[in-house]
Amino acid sequence: MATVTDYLDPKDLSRLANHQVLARRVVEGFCSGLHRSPHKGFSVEFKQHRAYTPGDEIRRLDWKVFAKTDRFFVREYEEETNLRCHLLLDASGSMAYGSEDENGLSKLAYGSRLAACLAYLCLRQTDSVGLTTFDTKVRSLVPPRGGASHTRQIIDLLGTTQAGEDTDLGKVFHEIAPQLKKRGLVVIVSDCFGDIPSILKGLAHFNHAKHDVVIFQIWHRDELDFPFRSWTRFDCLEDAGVKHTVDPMHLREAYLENLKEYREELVKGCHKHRVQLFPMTTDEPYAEGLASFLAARGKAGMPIHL
Amino acid sequence: MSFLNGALVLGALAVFAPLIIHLFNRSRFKIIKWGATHLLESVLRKNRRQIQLEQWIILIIRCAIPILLALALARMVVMNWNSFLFFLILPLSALLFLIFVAFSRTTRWLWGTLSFACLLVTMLGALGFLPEWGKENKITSASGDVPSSTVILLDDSLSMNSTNGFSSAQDFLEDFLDRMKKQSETTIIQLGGTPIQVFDKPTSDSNALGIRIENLDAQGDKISLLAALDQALTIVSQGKNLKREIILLSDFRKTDWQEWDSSAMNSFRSRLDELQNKPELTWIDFGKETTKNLSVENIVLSSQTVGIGHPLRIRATLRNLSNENFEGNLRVRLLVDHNDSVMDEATLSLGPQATNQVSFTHQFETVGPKVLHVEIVVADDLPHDNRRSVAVNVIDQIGVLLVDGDPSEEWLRGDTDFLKLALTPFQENIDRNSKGSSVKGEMKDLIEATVITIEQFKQFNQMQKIRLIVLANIEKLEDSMSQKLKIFLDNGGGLFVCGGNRVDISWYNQNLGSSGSGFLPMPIDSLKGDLNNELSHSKITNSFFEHPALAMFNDPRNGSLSEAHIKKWFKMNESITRNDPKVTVLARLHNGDAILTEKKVGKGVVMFLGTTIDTDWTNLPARPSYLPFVQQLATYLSEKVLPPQTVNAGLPLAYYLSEEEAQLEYELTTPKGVNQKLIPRKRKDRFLLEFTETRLPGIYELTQSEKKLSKFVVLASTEESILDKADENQIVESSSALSERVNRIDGTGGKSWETYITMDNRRTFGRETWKILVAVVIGLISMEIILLRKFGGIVR
Repeated sequence: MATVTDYLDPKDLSRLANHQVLARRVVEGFCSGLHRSPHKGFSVEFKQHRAYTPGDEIRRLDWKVFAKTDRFFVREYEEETNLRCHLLLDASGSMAYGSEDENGLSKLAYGSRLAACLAYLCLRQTDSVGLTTFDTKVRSLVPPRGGASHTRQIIDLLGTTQAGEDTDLGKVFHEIAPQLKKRGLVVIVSDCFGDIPSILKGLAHFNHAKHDVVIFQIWHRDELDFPFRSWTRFDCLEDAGVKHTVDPMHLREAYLENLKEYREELVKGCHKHRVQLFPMTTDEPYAEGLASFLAARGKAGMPIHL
Repeated sequence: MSFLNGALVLGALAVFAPLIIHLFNRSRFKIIKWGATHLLESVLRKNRRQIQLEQWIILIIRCAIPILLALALARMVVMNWNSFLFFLILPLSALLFLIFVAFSRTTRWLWGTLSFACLLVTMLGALGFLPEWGKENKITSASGDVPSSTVILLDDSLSMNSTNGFSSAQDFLEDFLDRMKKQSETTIIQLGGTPIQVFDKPTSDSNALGIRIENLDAQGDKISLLAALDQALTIVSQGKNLKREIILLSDFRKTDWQEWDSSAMNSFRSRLDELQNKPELTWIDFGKETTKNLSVENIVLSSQTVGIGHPLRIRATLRNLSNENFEGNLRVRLLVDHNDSVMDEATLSLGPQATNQVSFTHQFETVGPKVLHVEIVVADDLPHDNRRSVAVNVIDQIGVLLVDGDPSEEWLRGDTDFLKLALTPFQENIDRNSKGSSVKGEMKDLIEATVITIEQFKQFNQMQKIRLIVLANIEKLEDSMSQKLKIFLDNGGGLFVCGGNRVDISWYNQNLGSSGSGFLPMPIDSLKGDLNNELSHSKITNSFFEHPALAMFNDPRNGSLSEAHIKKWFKMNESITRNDPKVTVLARLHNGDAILTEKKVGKGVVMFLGTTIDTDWTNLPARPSYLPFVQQLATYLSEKVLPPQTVNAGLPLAYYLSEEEAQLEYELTTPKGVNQKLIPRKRKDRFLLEFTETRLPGIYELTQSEKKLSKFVVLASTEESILDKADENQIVESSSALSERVNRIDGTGGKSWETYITMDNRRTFGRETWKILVAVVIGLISMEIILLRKFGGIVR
């Protein structure tokens, strides 16, 4: 059974303490708060006190509490909308790459930690988080829910997730999209290997449902640089029957060209479907990457509140 | 197709290196579980065949490089276009077309077909299914155009001088060296006496060789052709060129072609046959038929060392090697030293193929080393053997003091009478005969002997003239006399102590032995033998005498010491002085007793004879060996023993030195006028100078800071005077035993070079291909580098 510290390193979390996962688009929540809510209303029913974070409206401060404790707290009401964050973690075979590295993380492990971090962050700001793992189809699912104890469930699922075989992102996206009833943030952690038009069609489905979609594309450094020199047999991680024995020196240039083309196509497609694509490599600390992603997202003029 | 360095063809096995590396790499691939297969697969799908083709091309190039390099190093020689076509051009074209296939998109089928066709033709050709195209188109290079490895055997024996044979040979060599190609290498071996190379290694420096050849003289001894041929074969078999040749320039005299060792011939033949690239053998004959030759065959002197004014008898043997008859009209001259002033002349008769002797007598007026020449004044085919020389050492008289311990008025009764007679035979002759006849003795003795009694010796004060003192049968000496002798010995004098009935053994042991002055080499034990009992007599053992004073008795012609009976003698105790390096036993009796012993005292030498020097205890004085025996001992003790100064070519020259003289520097001037430093060496207890390179006959002069010490004469073999041509059948038979084919050129007509060139131009040789191969290898290497870069461009 996975422990929380396997996925959430206090050091990493401290880096992310000041970040909030913000929905860039209007998402449907059932409480008003950080996120813009499509529903207009009054905040009447007190729900809880929450620690003040810069950016909160001053008028929401609970001065009484401040007088008592000398600390800023914000009053939150039931009416405030909260964020529904759907984490989609790709557990296909290709995500297993890198597990044989010394000290390195496989892409899946890296993605799991990333997902755990995101879940933690969301839960910390009282948003609800759900996790779906998939390869060719949905493997397991934790429905979106709030509360600190929910972290446990998510991490349990991450702990049991193993890399599977094939991927078919487009098909999986089509399968998942109708299940997300309310608009929310869809975070896809995947290497996005597969047929690009099919993937884009899946993304379009999310887009159509007005979800705010973010893709963390996980790369391994080898896949970007193709640093192999000696004679090598490449065994396909997704299809055990596919093996290629080649001299990688010969192929490098063509491979890199192929890679560039593929990435460009994906970026173009994502742009078209208003999907934010954030590539990460497993050799850079995920907390740092995530921090910079969140900071950029904050700066991009995203309103913090509705 | 053949190879100059056949063994290096095995270097082509290096072809396995790239193959093994390739296979090794393939078998040792890394396994990577790869995720981004979709990115890889599209590349692979489109390029798999192309990549395989490119890898094949690179592998073929890498394999071809060591093969071609090995062929280049083995220095492949092609004889005709056939091998060139099938083993170089076609395979390379196949490779080239294959490369075109790799690069072209639209016309690859065309190139592929062409490449396959080339390969097919090569295979079929190699298996012999195709006609041998180009076989008749020879790739040859004319003999003059190819570099050669040549060994020239130059006969520089004396006989080559007859009828300008040697200068003709030199002319031939000059022409040969002129035409020598840049990469050619030539070794010239001088045959006379022991074969010697002009330069230690084969050289391509024709100028240096030319200068050396120009300055050569034919002065050598009889040649040993087989040994030289063997040496030449060794050198030529290591030659680096395709064209190899052994050229013999000789006059083909009978003596050179006689008595060949058949096993040596067979071994030469088998060695020659084993060679892959056999050298050509070319004999060039420069020996014309001669009609007339006379020579001085031998000179005998009455003595090698002669005193001033002492008449020296010279007897020369002359030989007529032609059919011409000289009836009292053959002039013979005696010459001395360099000035060549005629000292004496004689005319005599000499019949055809006969020998005659001529005698001269000469008296020298000055001291020092001299050379005498005997010369026949006649114009013949070989003038060089008309003169023969001999070295003589002229010295002043040696003063010898004979101290008689038992003098007698009666002649030959005194103890030293026999000795004096033997040391100064001429003087005695005059003294004895002066009463009867008034003929004045012409001869003068080398030794001037003075006989005195022991009493006179006490007062004797002219010691500076004396080089040797003989104590014969002296009872005892007074202290003053011992002192005198000690000083004399310390200054380098010689003392000869002889036994006798008066000798006081105990006094000798006490005062002259090791406890006294130490003159006696070893103590006297007892008196042995009996005058009347013949059974107790003994004789001197006739073993090999190592000591220079007795060395002449190693030659039985000089008489034998063992003829004499020793009736009584002192037995000496050798046990005490056995390990003393200063003491030597010169001669022993049959029973093993030492009879003649020697001890070095100071700079001088003491010799002790265990018996009498007169006939009291031995009959040695009545034997013919007595005279040379005492003469040798006397000259040795007065330090005048000299090693032979007239030697045959090839034998070493030696000169004895004292310990002080050994510290100095010496120079030897060879007949060519070259000065050579000699360094004294110590052999046993004697210092000497030695010179072994006496290949060249003539006069060698030994000097020490301008002072002439000695002259040596090195003589050529008399066989060189025999100018008879070798029997044609003999030459043909011997030549054919040596090799299947021998080119014979008659150089006596003066057209040797023209004949040689005509013969040489008829020879053809295959062409060496290493330049082409190296160029191809370099081309392949650069092509590999280019291809490795170009092959990155893959279809996506």
